[in-house]
Amino acid sequence: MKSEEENANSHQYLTFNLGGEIFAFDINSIREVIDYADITRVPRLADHLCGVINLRGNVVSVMDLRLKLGMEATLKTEEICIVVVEIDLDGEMVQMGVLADSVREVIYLNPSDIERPPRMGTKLHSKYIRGIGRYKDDYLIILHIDRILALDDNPQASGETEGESKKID
Amino acid sequence: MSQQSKYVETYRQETEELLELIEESILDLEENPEDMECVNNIFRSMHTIKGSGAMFGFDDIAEFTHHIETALDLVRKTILPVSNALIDLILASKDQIKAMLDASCGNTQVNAGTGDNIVAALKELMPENISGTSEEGQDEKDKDEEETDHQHEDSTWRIRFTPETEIMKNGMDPFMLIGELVSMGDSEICIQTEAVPCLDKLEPSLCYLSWDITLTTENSLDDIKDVFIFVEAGSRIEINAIEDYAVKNVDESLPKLGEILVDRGDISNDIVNEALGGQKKIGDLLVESGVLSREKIDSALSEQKALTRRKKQAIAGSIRVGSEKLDTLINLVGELVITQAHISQIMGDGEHSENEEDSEISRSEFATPVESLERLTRELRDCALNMRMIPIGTTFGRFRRLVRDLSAELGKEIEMVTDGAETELDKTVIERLNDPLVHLIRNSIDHGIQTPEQRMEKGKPRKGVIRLSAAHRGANVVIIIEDDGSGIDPESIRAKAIERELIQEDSVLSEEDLFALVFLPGFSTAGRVTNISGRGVGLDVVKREIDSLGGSIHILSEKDNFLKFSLSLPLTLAIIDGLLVKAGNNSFVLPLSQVEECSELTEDLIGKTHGRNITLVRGKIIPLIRLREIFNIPGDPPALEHIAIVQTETVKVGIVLDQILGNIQTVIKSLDRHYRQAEGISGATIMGDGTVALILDVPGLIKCAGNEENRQMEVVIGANISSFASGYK
Repeated sequence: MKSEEENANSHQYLTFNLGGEIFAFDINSIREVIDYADITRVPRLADHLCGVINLRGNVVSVMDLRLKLGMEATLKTEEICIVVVEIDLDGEMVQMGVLADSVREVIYLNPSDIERPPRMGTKLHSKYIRGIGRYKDDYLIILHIDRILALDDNPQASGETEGESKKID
Repeated sequence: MSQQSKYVETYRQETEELLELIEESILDLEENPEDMECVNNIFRSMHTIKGSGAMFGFDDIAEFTHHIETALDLVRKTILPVSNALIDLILASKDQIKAMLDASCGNTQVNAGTGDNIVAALKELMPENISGTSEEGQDEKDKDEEETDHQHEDSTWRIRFTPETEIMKNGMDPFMLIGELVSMGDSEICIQTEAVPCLDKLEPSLCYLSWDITLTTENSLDDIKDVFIFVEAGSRIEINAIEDYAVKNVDESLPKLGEILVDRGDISNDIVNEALGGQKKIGDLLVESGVLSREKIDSALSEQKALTRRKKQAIAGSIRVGSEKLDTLINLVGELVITQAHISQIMGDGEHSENEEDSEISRSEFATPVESLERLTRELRDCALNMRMIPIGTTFGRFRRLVRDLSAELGKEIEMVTDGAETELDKTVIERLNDPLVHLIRNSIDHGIQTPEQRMEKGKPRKGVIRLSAAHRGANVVIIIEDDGSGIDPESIRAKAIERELIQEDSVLSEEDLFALVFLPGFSTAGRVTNISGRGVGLDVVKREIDSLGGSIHILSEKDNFLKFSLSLPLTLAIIDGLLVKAGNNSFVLPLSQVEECSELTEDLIGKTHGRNITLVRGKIIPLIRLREIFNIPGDPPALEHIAIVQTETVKVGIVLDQILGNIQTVIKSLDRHYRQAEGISGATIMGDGTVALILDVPGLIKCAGNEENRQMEVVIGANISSFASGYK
């Protein structure tokens, strides 16, 4: 581990589980990781916009990352937590929470360990992926947090989704 | 550096305020050209802009303002009459100064040519004999002033300047002041260093020096005093006049006499009062030697006293606080309100707790302080919010200029009447209200009020009137913009709407609904497009902005008679009184100002609804909105539901809920961009127990329910048609 830290080019990433897979965010955009708190659902919006929480007196919105990435909705378990990130939303710095099944660790990756996302095979929108990192005989998907949390192009369409019953309530 | 930029920022703010003041005064002056107080106000403001401009490095502004000041001075002396041309020029110069100020922030470019043109035009206005005899504005003014004040070309002044030791901490550079004096004429400067302490006691940030300056200049005493205008408060400044003749005598034949006089001043100069005494002695000397008459000395002294008195009056009973500090205060008060709500909630819960005996004592003990805390919190909240309240009149003032300029441009005669300028609104609301109001007023000027000829034909007075009024109404402020122009014809709106396919040809719309159509994007009934309005972009933007402020806008009009926009706005954006309600597990807050009454939705009532969402309340039919349905809240409603009857500008609606919990003070937290598009929700608030409750947006909710119903009906009709079609096959 130490030797990797010493490498000036290496970069820190926070890894977390999402539906059995490992994903990572660039540590720079992460503010904190908090335990799952009661989320107040905001009605009549897309499913992945699962509501708002009280973060020390500020109302912060939360996104269900699994739904956004086309997976099953996040199940409420003991380990579930909210990763609070700070992003630039159309010139406005905002804090947002992202649901993760569980947070793993902070790792160092060299740029040489990160490859460009393949054109196919990830079953994910390639614009959401920053790269694929090699780590301990496995790989992890580094997500493009700004793009994932960016405003939807067509909010109306997503707002129309039927059956807004939530697993988290 | 940051210190410096802080002063620059202060200057910028002050100048902007002064410019507003100037505009106000000049418009007053236009109405009352005889009112010298207006001229004086403008002159004073311009002078301050010039003086502090030079001090903080806004040399271009200072130089430009100087020319205006020169002209104004002539007006003050009734040499130059108040003319329309002059008023136009001063208004233009006000704009130019503003542009220069903006340019100094680096945002925009200033057109120097405009400034030169203004100055040139001003010079043209000046009477021949004055602009002809001297080249520069400075000379004109001085000459003039001296002619009236001193009857001498040059006079010599002895100035003793002892700045307060803190002067440099206040961002003033004594050398700058002295430099300014030197630039006035011939000067001899003598620095006094006896106050400088030993090196080990020396505080480098303090100023221990004082200066004796002998200045021979054309400028008047006032000009010299003006140099010190910003340091007057803490510093000792003595300015003594020595007649030309005397100075010549002193300088040529008795060179030491001056020094003796100065020395004598030093000795008796420990306190300001004594300084005044010392001054008199010099005066006495001069009188004795027959150089100056007693009256002159006395008048100079009384002038000085008068000036000091005026300065004292000018120190108003208010302080300047940065708005970010106020925002912090409001936020903290918000937190306090939340915490207080939590405490109240715990107290309330305690009443229903099972182990009554345990908590009995502590609860009764706590009841009183908790109540006081609640009261204090509310007072503190109101007080804090009140600090952000500013009268809307500041905005109204700005519109006078708009009306004046635009009506001149369009060849119309329009008078603006304002009412309720003292009505107070939250600063943020006022700031965001400016653009919509500008739009509406432009609209009235351009389309509403016709040309004088057209008005005469219609049998109206030549001069059109735009009435701008503001008044409190409950928790709202109502702002009305009314013009007595051509109004709008509901039928022409209908025609236009049909043409644009916004409504069906046979749709039945009330007059009010028709008027509401003009707020749709791209809708304009104006036949022509001008650079002022008519593109139909204005009104939808206005509506959006008013909506985002949590307000509403309505039109009332009669063709050929009047057009009236009425805007209803919340007093503040930060904290509202709300009604806490529940549907399912979710808490919602209804703005209390909109809730009319609460009642129960009894089985009896449900029976009468026949499955439709309407009910009778006090003999009136009221549509119902079921929050559970509209928000897709899972679970079954309780046996007894409640209705909160809310009143919007136009309709009365009952909102069906599970439970009504009671009043709550809510600190409004806006939602981020993802959630801002949520229908029927205007924001969120944090409850005492730390959970988040959503604040309902009643008009949005009504709109949303209407859309929902239409959609469902379409689905039903669509299903019917398809079943019919399949049956036909």
